[in-house]
Amino acid sequence: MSTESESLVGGASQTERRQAVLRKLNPITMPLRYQIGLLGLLLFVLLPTQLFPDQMGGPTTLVFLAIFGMSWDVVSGYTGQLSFGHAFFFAVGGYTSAILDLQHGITPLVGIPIGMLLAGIGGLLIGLPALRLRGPYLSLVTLIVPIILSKLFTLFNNGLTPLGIPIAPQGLGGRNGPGLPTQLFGIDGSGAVFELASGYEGIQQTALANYYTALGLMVLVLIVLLAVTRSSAGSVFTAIREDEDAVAAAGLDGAKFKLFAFVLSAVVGGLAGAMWVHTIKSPSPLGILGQDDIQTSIDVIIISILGGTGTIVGPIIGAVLFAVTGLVIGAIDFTIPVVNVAVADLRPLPLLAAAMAVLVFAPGGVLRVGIRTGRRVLASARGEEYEGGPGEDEDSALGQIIEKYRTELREIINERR
Amino acid sequence: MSTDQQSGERATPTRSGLRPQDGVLVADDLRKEFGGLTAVDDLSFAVQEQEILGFIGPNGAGKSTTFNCITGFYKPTSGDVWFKGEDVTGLDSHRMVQKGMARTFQDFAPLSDRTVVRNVALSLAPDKLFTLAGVGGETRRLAEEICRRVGLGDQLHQTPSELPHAGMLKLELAKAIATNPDLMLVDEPFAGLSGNEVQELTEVLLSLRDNGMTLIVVDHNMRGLLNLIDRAFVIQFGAKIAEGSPDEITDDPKVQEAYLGGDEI
Repeated sequence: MSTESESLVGGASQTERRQAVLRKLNPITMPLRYQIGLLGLLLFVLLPTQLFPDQMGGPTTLVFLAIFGMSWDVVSGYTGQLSFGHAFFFAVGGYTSAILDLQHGITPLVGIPIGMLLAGIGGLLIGLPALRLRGPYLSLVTLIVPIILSKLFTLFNNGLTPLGIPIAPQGLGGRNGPGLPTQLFGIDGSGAVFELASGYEGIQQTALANYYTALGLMVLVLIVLLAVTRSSAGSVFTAIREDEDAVAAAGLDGAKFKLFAFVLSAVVGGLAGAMWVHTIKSPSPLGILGQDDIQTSIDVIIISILGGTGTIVGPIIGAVLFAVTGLVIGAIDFTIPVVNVAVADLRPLPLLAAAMAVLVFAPGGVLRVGIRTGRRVLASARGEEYEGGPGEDEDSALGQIIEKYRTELREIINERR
Repeated sequence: MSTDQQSGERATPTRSGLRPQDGVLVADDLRKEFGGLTAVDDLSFAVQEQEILGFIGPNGAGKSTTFNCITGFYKPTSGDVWFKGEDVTGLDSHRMVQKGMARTFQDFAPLSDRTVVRNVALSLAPDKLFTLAGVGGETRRLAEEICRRVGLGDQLHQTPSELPHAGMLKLELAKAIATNPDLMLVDEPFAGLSGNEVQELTEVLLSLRDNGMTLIVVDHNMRGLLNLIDRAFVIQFGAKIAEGSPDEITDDPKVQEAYLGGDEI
């Protein structure tokens, strides 16, 4: 069989693969949607030209949120293993690097990779039970884990030295956090890793350096995650989402791919979390895990659903929508009569409503709607009727995740009977 | 591993008298119990290379359970499975496929989110996390070729839900073929097919055998299999009741008794 099949296709050579990759990466010949994507990235690069340095905090946060969203998407959006507490990984990365810096004097340049590694181990620890647990149970685990972590921060408020090993001799800092770690960028004399100019010029440069570092990280993560999910591993991920028996019948070790997705996601999240605390975010439960230790995790899911689950690119669009909605609502100077509440005070309710609307009317997310609309417009410009491509079901990814979840719930309920 | 120990203890010939070298696939005293129910009752058989074995039994006879035990979807309660002389009892199903044992599913399991050709391409995907395989399009070309061989050439870019019943059967077959197996277990390939479609599929299976593949075909009656199988193996209540050429089987009184009352062999 094998010799015959090889002769059938003539065997693909290294050069053939390289040519195919180069062809795909040529911006002139690539499909329109990729060109628009590149244009979007260009806008990200040019954005600071339109803002004052003290306005750069928002966009930088946005970029970090986009990275967090992508990290969620690669495991939950692709393999359908729903994580409700993804901020756990951001916190592990951020706290590790911050504690190493503050209490052990280890530079962030070393601490950030260690934070990333520890988050990866966290991904392994959550990924392993995920191999045995069904979706609803896994979700409970992921929901509880960041809350436990937050309790640990309080419990080891003043010192964490198990068996005399000084992991965090001055403690994890409880609700306030362990303090502000060394920044990657700062003005001259600030003690930052990279000291820039002094005075106002230095502040300006710091804001820009933070933004472009975050943006560089986003592009790097985007490239890595796109490469993984667009390779055959990506099609295995989505096959796991749909039918694990089919994956096994294809001779593929589903458990290995699931675990890989978890670790990859955790490593990306941990890296971003560690970079976060050394640029614009002070490490604390409220800062990283968010309100009630869960808000950040929920925001990340909303961002991914808004943009489009199972796309990697979607969370970037989702993060932009997330930020813009917040800005617009915050700027509305209108008080709703009768209940006497200012619209601006309603945040984040309108955003949650927008997320609900996307769930109901465009479960595939804004990205898929955009691509489909674009194709329809292009087709009608050519005078053709657009009928929709194969496998282009608008709700396929999210619909599948929910369907998988429902099936597993039903199984659990049936077993209880 | 426990399976290794078991085979070590069984150096002496077992009750069935079968040895690992007796065929490309050897099942020895295979047993599967669910609670108090014995679904497979000490079943032993050997399949020779390039043979097409018909695995026949009335509904509920334990055919699918036997299948699942051999392919690693269930762990057998006791007994051994040898594949190409190697003890593979209780191996994970994906490992079985990698060793060259493919199966089709009776209740089709195509991935509904992707096209026919991409369903087949999944079986060609390497079991590796980082790979450039498929970037040059060779996986796709091979998947297309396999689809054409089983008669799905015109439906490459349809989704499985658009396929007729016969198309789904062909897709199951194509997915199994794409794992490049030495042995293929085919579950009820002719269920619900017309005479022409049975003929078409029979030819595909025979050509696979001519290319070196061994086949086990499961069905609840033998009528459609007569032109295909070399040998039949009939089970009832999880135990063997007859074995032999199709002619011998149809004349066997125990088989006739098993099928008495409706079902036709």
